[in-house]
Amino acid sequence: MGMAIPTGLWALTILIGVATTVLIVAARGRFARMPPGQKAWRVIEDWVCIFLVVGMLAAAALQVVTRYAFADSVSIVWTEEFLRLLLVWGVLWGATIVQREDDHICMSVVHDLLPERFGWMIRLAGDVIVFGCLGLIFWYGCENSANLFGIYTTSLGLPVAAFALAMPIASGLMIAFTGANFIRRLRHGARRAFWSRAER
Amino acid sequence: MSAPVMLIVATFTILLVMRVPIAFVLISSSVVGIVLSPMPIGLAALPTSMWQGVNHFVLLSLPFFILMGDLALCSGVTQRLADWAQAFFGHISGGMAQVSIVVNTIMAGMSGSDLADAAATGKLLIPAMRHSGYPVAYAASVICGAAAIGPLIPPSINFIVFAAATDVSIGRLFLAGAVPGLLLAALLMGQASFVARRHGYPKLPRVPYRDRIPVTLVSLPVLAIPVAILGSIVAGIATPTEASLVGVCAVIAVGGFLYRSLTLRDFVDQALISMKTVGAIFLVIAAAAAFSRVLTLYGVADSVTQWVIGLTRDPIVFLLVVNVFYLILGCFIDTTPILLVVVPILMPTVKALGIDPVHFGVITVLNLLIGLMTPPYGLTMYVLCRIADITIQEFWKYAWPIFGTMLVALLLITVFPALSLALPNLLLPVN
Repeated sequence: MGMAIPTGLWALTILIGVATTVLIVAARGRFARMPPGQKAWRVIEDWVCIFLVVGMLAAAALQVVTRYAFADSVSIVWTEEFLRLLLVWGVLWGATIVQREDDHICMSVVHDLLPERFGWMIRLAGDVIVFGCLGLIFWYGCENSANLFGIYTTSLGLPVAAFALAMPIASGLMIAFTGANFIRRLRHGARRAFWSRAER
Repeated sequence: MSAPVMLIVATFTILLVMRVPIAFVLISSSVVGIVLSPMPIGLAALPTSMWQGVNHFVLLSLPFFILMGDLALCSGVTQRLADWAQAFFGHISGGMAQVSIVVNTIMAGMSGSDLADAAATGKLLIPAMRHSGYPVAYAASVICGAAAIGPLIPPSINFIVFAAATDVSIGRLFLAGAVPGLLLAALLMGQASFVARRHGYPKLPRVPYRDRIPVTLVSLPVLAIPVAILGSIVAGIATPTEASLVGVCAVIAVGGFLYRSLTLRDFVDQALISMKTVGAIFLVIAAAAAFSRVLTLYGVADSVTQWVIGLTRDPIVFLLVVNVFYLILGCFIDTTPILLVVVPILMPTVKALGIDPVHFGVITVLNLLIGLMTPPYGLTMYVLCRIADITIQEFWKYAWPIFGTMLVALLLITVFPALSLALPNLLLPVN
């Protein structure tokens, strides 16, 4: 068994949750024109994202304040591990949002020169490759996480799997978004092909 | 080159050309490398390597510096800086062009991304320059050149990624970029002055000294932010991560409470934009960590070192060749993948030839920044052409001299390592 989770961590997590909710309510105009299904997901997505940002800021601020204001007389050693945990989850959560928006960094120069139909097929093939990569990460990420449930972090008292789980969860979400992008691209491309035939 | 390495390179090239996101190009190439490896490495190593690549102490400051830059863009900072720069530099030959360069130089101390700087200053200063009688394409090209100062003057996202890829001190890299950044600013200002005299571009009326005081007082908190960030790192008061946090808090305080331009909605919007940027960069970092292990497995970097040393042992010749290589590469690929994939391959050669990795870092970053100006992958150029509503041909009609000036700065920084190394050697010497 690992050590107990620090009480301060619970308190900080609740505070971050409250602050995040206040911020999301203040920014509710973002979701005004979205259809209900999309709106529900985007609220969750934004809430998690802002929670992670506010959490990172709070954890880092606590580190600085305890170090300088209290000259290390009050030591909260778990803040660094907490910051790393939030960083790992934050960056992978950000990556899933970028995947949903189909906006990851890529080299499009050659692709843009291809004929439209050929370029469309290449993009679909690219989606299949992305699927394959994400499938591997998901599978082995689950395996790694399962192995790490019995090992605990030194100061947070959480299973190391709390870090490792970010990888399969993010890749699982990215698989879903890649699927949605693939279907959208397939439909869009098929429609364009149909219209061009009809015009001919 | 062994057959597995050739297959890895072929996979990498084909998928890159197919417009597969670079992170997945790296993952696929790593999978090929792992599968073909004669050593018993399972694919289970892939997510572990990726996770370890992200869970890096050096990278903790990156999200905060990105957030600070994004928050600065909508907190009224740019407008105050432009007012201050107009009061002090508007009367010099090339008035508004000088103002644009000065604003970008100071913004560089708050934002580490040249794309973000270009977008923010372009929206504000291109209309202002057009109003003052400058050709709009010239305005866009001046801001494009000036935005490249951003990632040279600390904080710099590119330097943090470089440090993560090479284990070079961030503090030394930050300091090393300062003088080259100021040198580039000075060269661009000189060039703007020359162009303005030649074409008869207008300058602003001189602002009396008594009127400069209130403008300075209003802008003082903004001007203090970059000084506080770099000062705290150099003085050893704060680590780069802590300094980045101080920067975020300072921008929130200045934009939210002092200027009252930053709202809660703005904070949420900018935080989401920042996390998307962070996500896109970190996925490449994670994938590059796995790819770099595969390359190490096959000894690619060592082979490159042997090959290069067989060709030349002159550091300057090597750096000049690398400059050309980077400039070509920068035309096609984004900065982050180059920093994470190419730099670790070249690093053993850099060390073998006795080149300081910090000096090499500055050269690399400046090269990649020039690449952001050149088509077909000139992101900064595209952003500014869209803001200015001009074509790439119109942009390049005025951008050639600025491109040339940047090449001169690159050449000086390459040939005179002291320009990069004097400050870090003075303030943060290696023990």
